[in-house]
Amino acid sequence: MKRRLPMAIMFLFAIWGGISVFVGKTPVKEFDNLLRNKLLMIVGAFAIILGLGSLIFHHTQKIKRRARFWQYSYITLFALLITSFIGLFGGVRGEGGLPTIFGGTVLGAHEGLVYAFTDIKEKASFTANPAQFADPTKAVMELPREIPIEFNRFQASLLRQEIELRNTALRLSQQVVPPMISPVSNQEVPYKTDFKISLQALYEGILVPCASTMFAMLAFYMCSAAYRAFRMRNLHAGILLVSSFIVMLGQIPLATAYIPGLHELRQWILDVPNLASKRGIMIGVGLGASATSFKIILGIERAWLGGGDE
Amino acid sequence: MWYWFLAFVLLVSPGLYAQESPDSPAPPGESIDSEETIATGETISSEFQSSDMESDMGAIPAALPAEEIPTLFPPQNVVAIDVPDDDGQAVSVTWTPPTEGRPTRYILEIAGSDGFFEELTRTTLTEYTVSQLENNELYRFRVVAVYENGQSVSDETPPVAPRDHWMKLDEIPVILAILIYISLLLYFIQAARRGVELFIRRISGLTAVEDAIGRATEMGKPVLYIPGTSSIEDVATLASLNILGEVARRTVHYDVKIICPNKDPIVYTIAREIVKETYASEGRPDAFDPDSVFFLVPDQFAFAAGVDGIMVREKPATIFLMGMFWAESLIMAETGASTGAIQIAGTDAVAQLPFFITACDYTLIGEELYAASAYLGREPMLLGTLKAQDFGKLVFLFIMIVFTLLSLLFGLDAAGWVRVR
Repeated sequence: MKRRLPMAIMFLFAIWGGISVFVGKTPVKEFDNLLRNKLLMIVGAFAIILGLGSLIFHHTQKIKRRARFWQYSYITLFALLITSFIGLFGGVRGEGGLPTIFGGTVLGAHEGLVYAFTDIKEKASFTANPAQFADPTKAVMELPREIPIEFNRFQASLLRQEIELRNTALRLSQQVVPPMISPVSNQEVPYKTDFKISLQALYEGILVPCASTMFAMLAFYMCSAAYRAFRMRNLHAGILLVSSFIVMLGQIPLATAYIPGLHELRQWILDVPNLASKRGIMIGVGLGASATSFKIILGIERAWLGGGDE
Repeated sequence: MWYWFLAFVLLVSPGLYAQESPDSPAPPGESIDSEETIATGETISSEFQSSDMESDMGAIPAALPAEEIPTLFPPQNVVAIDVPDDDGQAVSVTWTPPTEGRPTRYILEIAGSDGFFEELTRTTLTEYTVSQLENNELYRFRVVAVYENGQSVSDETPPVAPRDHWMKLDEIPVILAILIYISLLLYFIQAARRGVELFIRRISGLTAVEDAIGRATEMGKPVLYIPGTSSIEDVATLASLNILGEVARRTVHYDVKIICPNKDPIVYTIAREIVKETYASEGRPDAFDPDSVFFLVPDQFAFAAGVDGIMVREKPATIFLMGMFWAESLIMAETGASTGAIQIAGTDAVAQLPFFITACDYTLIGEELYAASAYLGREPMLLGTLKAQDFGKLVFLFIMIVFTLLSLLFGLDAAGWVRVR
């Protein structure tokens, strides 16, 4: 039962998945979307709880065992706790009850204005200068002009950008920025939002730069990998070296301008031998993926269920 | 005499009020946009509509010499039909070029229930399949021919509604291919059941698995297994989880610690169950460390950083990178190589294969990833599916060669017979 029930469920859903590909009726598609998106989302939500449990267990165990570099586990748990707290009580963009914006403005004043515009959906205007989108520091030096805006959700986000750009301009230039008057309350909109710790700010300020740093390291890893790959140890490595040299040289406009036929040769390498081998792999992958799927559907492949009793 | 002259000019000039073609009468009051509306319903050059020309030449078009106004012909035979045998939301629009003149491009316009035409796309072709429409809603279409000196609009099509259909008939080639492939699979599985000896070529990356785990045993260091960075919907992830079962079985046998960090919480849940059940089925449930399979982080590069940290701290003797990978593949593989571990990678991501081939000791290329579980398990029925994979490739190769010859020798659109929309 422990294995037969999951297999029966898998078989039914797999057959349904196949049917939905070949049947075009809307109810079939809608039910398929329901399964693929909503049901999977619910399963995913439960799995995240399990994942979080695993993360906490893993690091508490490390601390308990005093495993190597156990001190870092405190940082992970602390970051998890703080981020969860801010996310739960401060909202994604600081719209929650927890104060997440410090400095010149009270919580959510800007966001409130944006949402007010969004809800009212009336024609409004505010002082803005398109040039500031190009260079915020110059924007404050130029005369602003009235831009009529009929607010929708997209434009509300533009307004948010406007406010943030003005803040940036103020911070960078330390000059007087023309006041922005809210068309709703007819009062001046405060500019300063100096320090944010909303979930979005943490994501944009910490996670994205860290991920970019990791991604940037790829360039150096590529160099070392290329050095190893292009060493002429045998005939195959030699062919690889020559073809890669031609392809890389063909990428340079100066080289293609002075070496006749280089661009065509580079394109031929990419379009003929390269594409042929790629397609060969792709056909094999397609057949292999199909075979794996059939093996699982027919119950021949059971490794994904682990061992255990029937 | 002047009114005789005017009457003569009006009669001989086709550009002012005569229709270009009896096939394409423009309805009275038809317009391309508000500025180009003319009382006669005739198309007219846009250069005569511009404000500059108006200021220079006075009233338009009466003040122009009639013989200078060029005649612009609209597209002909505009037909809109519901795309047959599909899942709806699509209408195919075709038209033929104007009887005279060479438009630089066409603008396809659509009108929904509100009756107002709006631009849909610009194209130089004479057909377009409009998608993402509402099923059972009526739509009308018309095509504007754009010339260098103006535009000319066609007739509207009759209203057409996209509809969904029970069976997507254009998928029949796919169904046939699947049936052929299933037949091959079943045949070889039956052959394996009958005890027919099936030759399976040696895959060096998989032969090395035993040695790699043996190396970890000798060194007293753990085995690190990364089941890809994709979700459970990816078949490569499923294949990787199948291999995880076989690798875990060997780690139990050799009494080696396995470390399996996961990026996806659902994959983590399944991977944990696989390793746990493998320990149980091998009679060593007590040896299973619940901390050996864990959820690391769902972010791509954070995961890569976390795995790099594990590699550097734990110094595993053997690293398996199996499944679907993206840009993080080289970051992990290079870090693993720098720790001196023996690395076996396998992926069906063609873009990541060069990185793995460069940085890892063994690489399972494409289909070998899917063959790994059967190869390691050595179950006859699973080996039968490997044979079917190879024969499937043979069939596809044969079809490609035949179709290529038909196309080259006889000019037939052989690919079109099996093309799926």
